Amino acid sequence: MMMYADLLIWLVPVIATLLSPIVAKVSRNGAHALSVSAVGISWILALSMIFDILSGNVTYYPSNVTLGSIPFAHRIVWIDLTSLIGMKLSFGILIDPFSVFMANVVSFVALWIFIFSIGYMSEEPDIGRYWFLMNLFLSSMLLLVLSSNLLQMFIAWEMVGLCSWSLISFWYKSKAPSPDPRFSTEGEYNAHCGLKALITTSFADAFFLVAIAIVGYTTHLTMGTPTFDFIELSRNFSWLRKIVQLGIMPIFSLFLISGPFGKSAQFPYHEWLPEAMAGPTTVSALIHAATMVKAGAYFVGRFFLIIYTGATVYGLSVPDGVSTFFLAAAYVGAFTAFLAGTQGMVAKELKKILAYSTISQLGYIFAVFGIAGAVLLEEAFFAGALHILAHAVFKALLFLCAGAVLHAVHSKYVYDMGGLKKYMPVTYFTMLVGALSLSGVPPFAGFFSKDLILHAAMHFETMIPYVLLLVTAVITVFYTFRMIGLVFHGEPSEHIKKMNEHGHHIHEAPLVMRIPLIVLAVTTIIVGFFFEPAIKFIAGEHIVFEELGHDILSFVLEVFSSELILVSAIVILTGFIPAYYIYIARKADPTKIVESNIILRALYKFLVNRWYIDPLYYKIADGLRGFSARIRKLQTGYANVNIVYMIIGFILFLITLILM
Amino acid sequence: MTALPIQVYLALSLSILAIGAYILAVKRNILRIILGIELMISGANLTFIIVSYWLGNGSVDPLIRSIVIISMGIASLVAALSIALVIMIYRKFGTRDIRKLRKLKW
Repeated sequence: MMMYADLLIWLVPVIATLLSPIVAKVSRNGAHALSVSAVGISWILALSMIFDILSGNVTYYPSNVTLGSIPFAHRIVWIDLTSLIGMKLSFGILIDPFSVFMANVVSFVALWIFIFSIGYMSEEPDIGRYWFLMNLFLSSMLLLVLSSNLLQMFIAWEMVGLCSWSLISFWYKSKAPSPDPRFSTEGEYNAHCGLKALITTSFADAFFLVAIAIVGYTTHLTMGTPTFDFIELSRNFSWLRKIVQLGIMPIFSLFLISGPFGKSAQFPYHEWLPEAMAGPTTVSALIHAATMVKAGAYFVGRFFLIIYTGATVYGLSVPDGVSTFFLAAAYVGAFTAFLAGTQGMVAKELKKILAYSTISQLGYIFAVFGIAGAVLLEEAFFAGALHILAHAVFKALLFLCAGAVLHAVHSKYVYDMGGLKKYMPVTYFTMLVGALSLSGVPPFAGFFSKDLILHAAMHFETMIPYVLLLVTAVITVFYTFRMIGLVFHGEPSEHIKKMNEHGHHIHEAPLVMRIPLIVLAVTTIIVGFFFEPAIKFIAGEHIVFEELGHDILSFVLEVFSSELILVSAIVILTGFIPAYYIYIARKADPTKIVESNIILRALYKFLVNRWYIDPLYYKIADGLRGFSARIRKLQTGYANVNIVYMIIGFILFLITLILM
Repeated sequence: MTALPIQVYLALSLSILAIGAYILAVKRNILRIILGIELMISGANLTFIIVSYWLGNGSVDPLIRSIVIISMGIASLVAALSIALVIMIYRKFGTRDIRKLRKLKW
């Protein structure tokens, strides 16, 4: 029970944001200590909130604010526009199990990523900017998950996007040769990647904003005043019925899901995420595990809760059209999982493999949240929430391991690695834990959540998502062990041999980087067993600590005794055996196999070109740019010509004024 | 003052405005352009006075008069500031030709 915990949890990183550039001028270690302690405090506050919720008694303020049961939102009037447009914008913190759960995931993962950064960014001269952006990123995300209304969430949402843009293009000054022939230096390429992320997500957010405006308009029509508050929206579905009545439900649903699709890199907005690897690896870890891409999944979960709480707690009837939102999430999520998984099989850069796996795993989360909403199934929602947790932990682990590898090898291509097992044993074993979890091998966290997702997918109206997710699971196992095999097994590549000859011996990461790896690996191993208490927590049920052991045991037994364990075993073996044969044992040459078969060759080309979606987007963008270049000729830059335009415009204005 | 109808006076001020606009649109020398701006402001001020005189049947509203005086003061300030800018521009770029000053158009 900490005073003002709901405000401090995101304000402490804000303070660190403001101070870190100044502190960094004085002392690097001071800036490290400041940022790490800020996120540490946030995590402790998030942990304390768990116990507040379990005790069912939330008092963050002196006696004048009495707060009731969970979920509760502490709101203050932020901007009073009553006299102008008859509404008040409120600023509020929503405390309910889901938001606290997310806050814990975010702050815990961020804590270890921040500690890892101390080692990873040890040679970075511009450390003040780095910590400024990282802290701002974290605080925006905490504000996002704790927001009590849509508008405030949207502001935090855009702040997250802005931070991701500047962090992806963090090394915009780099003069190294560009990995992409279209750019002259790596710095230009990095800046381009950041901009790609920003433009893609902002494009999606434009639709999202329209949907938020529709919410405001319909609540204004039905409740008298525009409201965006999550709790208010779930108490009364008249706004939803109004949307159906206006006949804009399909458009509204698609616009509303567009924002999360963009943020979480789902089809058709998925193309920004592989490029987001241009930033420092810690940034990629933060984007993928905790902050940026989980925001979209969080919103879909939040929208499910609005509908579900309204339907079950307040006994409202859900209008028919609402399922469009969830059906879109279910089908697009399952499709994206498959799409990105196939691309992950042929990716050449270590971080890009992980990026495709993130898109794919987010597809799982979207699919299961969609299923949850479409059939109003609470179990599916839990599965999605737990997959957020499991994915956050193991993806942070995998990215940090990748960071340790890149730090040692100085190359991002998997074909420049190989045989690193004996040089980097700690990294190898921790990354193996992450990989096993990603591919859903029992008893790691990813196994339980994937199992729950597949179980929930069977309750859906069609089997399309189930089949797609199952196939993707096989693909996931394959590309995960391809990655492990290429990086750690086999003979060292030419690049590594050359490095050794030049006296750059491959070395294990320093201690400050190893500790986060070990902590996250241990968490990945044990967190799966705590899924049953976690489900009870999110469901708002009472947890008896004495029965914790019994709960865990019965949950594990239940999972292992269900028929799905067989499916899991088949899935893992189907993916693992070819990956082992080709990449770990190196019994066959993959390039020869692909070269020998015309169908495989065409398929390989199709996948390497990312299903030709990325080139298509660039074609569209180039077409638009050509159009703009022609329009631009109107801008001569001569002041005289501009004045002539001004006078013409003024005369036209006068004429319209007279005519009216 | 009653000899001529108001349209004549308005035509005078409008033509001053038009001359100013013509200078802005055609001349290259920045100093001339500043003169053009000053001319346009004078035209606007004159319109104020004329309309006020016409509405007040021979007496100018003191409010309008003070507004015009303030406007003239500001116009002189604008002129002073712009001429200072011209001096800076001339020192930096060595030209007074406005068509050569198009750095924003790369």
